[in-house]
Amino acid sequence: MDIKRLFALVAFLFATFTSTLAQGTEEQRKYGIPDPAIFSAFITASGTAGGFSTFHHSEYTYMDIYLDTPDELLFQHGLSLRFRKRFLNDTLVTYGLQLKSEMASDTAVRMEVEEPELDFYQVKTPDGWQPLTEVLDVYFDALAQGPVDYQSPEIAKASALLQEWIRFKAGGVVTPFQRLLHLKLAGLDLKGVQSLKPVICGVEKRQRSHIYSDPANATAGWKPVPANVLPESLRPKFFTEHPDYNWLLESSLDSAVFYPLFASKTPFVAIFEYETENKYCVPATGTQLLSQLEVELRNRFGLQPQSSSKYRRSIEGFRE
Amino acid sequence: MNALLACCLFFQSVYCNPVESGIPFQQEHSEPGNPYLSGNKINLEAVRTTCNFLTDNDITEVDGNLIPRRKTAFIRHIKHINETLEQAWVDNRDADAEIMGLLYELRFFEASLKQKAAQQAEGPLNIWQKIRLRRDSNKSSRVFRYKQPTKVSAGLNDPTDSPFWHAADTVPLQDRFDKLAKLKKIKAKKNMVVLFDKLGTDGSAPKIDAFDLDLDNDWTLKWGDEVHTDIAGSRIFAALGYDVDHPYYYGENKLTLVFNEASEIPDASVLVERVLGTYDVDLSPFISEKGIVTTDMADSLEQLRPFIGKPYVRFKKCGLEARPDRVKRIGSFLPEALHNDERTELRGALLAHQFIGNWDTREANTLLTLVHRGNYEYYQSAVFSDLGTSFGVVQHTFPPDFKTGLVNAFPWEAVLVKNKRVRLTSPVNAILDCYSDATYDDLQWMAKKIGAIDSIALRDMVHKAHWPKPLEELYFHKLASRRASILTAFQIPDLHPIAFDRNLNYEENGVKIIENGMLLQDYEPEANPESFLDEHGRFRNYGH
Repeated sequence: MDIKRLFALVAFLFATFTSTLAQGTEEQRKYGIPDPAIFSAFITASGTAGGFSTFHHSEYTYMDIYLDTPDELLFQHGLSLRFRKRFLNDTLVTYGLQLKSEMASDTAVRMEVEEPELDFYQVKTPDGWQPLTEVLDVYFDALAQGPVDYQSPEIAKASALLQEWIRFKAGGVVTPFQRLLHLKLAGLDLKGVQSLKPVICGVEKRQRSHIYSDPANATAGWKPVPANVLPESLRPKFFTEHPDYNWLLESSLDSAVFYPLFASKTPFVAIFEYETENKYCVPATGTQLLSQLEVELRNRFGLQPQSSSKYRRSIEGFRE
Repeated sequence: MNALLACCLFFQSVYCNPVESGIPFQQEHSEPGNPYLSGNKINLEAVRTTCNFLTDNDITEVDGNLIPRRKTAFIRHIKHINETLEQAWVDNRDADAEIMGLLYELRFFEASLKQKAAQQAEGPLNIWQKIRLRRDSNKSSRVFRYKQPTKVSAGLNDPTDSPFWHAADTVPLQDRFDKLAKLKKIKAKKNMVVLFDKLGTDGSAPKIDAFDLDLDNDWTLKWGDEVHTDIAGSRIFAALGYDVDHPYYYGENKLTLVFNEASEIPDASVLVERVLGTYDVDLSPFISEKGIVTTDMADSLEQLRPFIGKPYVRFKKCGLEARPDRVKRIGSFLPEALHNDERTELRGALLAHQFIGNWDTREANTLLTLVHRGNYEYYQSAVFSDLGTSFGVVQHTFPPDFKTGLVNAFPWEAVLVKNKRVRLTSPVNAILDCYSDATYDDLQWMAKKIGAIDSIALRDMVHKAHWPKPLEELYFHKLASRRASILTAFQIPDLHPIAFDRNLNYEENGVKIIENGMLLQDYEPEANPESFLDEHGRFRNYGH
């Protein structure tokens, strides 16, 4: 990458980038994988596809508790809401509450808002205040052992505490709840939001990779992309160490298993999928790059686009 | 006043705050009608309404005005406050000092954000607002008169430290500005390279926004008659205990502005055109060099290396004001609301404005900010902003215009005493409640702070403004004289007398530059295009 290009579109690109972040939307694409073993080997080996180089940099473990109303209004409205515990490279643990929409079929854009920090929230119990994260950990600790028995006393107690926390906070400052009320969807008024409760939970292993262009790996016909313009605080260390590489996209190879927290004939749903996400400062260029990569991956690995969220696929699976 | 003092002392003894706020207990909290209280318990619904307003970016309007987007750090801070209050509500706690402090903080933020939304909706000043500014200017000399007490009083005690003011500590007064800058992680290098972002459209002086090379922090670049005055004024206010903006002076070729070729303003020539069109100011005389960044330039200034081949411009002189990522601006600090007009530290600020001869005292030039201290700890701070319309201001009615930094228009006395009556000499364009309500005692309190500035501190702060040498000398003597006039008028013994000469003379190469305390000729007009004598300012429209 010509480092002089670093500044080529600073003002315009930076402004566009920040405005995109501010909208609470992200452009993603998802793919089903016909041969997981071969594709997994490609990812862990940091392979190249066309003019795209990849760098496998992290393995994350996510644990999720999905919420919905008793009559599955979030599912019906194409939304998903989950508590997520993230284990980042076995060292860092964070908790969040995320509200997402299903991917729009025409733009591949998903609405996403997050309450990014749950550590300071407390749940009132008969014994006093307890951190919300400890209540969530009752589920997550059980998940670490395998399938979760939603009828166990521990889970039932945690579920009651969680529902009480949701009931109390529904009209408050928790961003996903604020957004749900703002959307004014049928049935999802304050009372509807207060009725949210855990419906499924699961574990997900995620192999994260940077996708970038490396001038040394440029293939014939590869059109160089101007340098991605980002605040230093958002630039991954890998690109600070390799200033010639141009960060374009981010990807994750996910293998997940979900368990129902209600009676179902299906004991679990397993999902194996690949996600790519735009990280380029000019959204339109990023969209082109996503399409370009899609062609490469389809030709080489037979990847097939899909749009349903893990939540939708899981619920549909548990209904079977 | 006694009640306020008692209140402050009470607060000092009981207040503690788990979310690192610095808001002192307010007398009003014990009064009926506090919207966040039902009896002495928290009114959860009212607290939530405010917290949702402050944190929910889906709420985009208030009173028909667009609300500025709330920043992530600000939202986070409010959520922490909200959680503490919600837990207190669940526990049915009485509203103690901690709760009162947090409720006050919420109320302050809410009112400030609403003020900002209303201010932005107003747009440029209309004719009536301009007339009011002129009227307040004319009224100043009549309003700011105080009877000298026959008996010298001990004076008021210092208020408790608050977002509005901080007592002196071990840091030398002249270094308090740098201490504030360090807290905000501002790094003004000796040679700066900044990246063009956009041309400003508001305010009266030409300015542009620029990115720091780290792209996390921003800077505002200014030219003209406030380049020296803003820097001196901000440092003096910081020395007196106030928080301020952080402007820095950059002399010839010390700052490089690099352009983005693809932007609307791709080089210096277009910038000059656009500034002329927007502000009616010709930037050309301020430009020292322009062109394309070369390898040779990068060899002498490493920061330029990534920009070889890009257009750049350098200036004979300019001001660079920090817009650090760690500081989130909310709205004004509400000098006329929430009982703030009763604060000695805000009333006393009138005398600080008089000391530097600041004219533009509008509420819009006050800021409530949230500062990230690090490790996700935040503190509120009230900032006196835009202190550059000072050090000698001349106004013209037709055409409406003014010019600052005219040293001969900067009186030798800040305060005059006649028949036991004290009169302030510098007009201000907005007589805010805290200034109209200021008493002799309030001003005397500030006079003591001004008296604490000694010769070394004053010399250092004037020097940092980088006026040309003769101007620096003249301003130093004038400020020393104004300081003396203040101490005399408020009957304060001068513990650090600063010698000054009202008949100062200054010659250079046999040419008289200053005679009997008057600047005789424009000093090096090529290097100082703004002129220190020419009263013809730019056509100031308070926002185009």
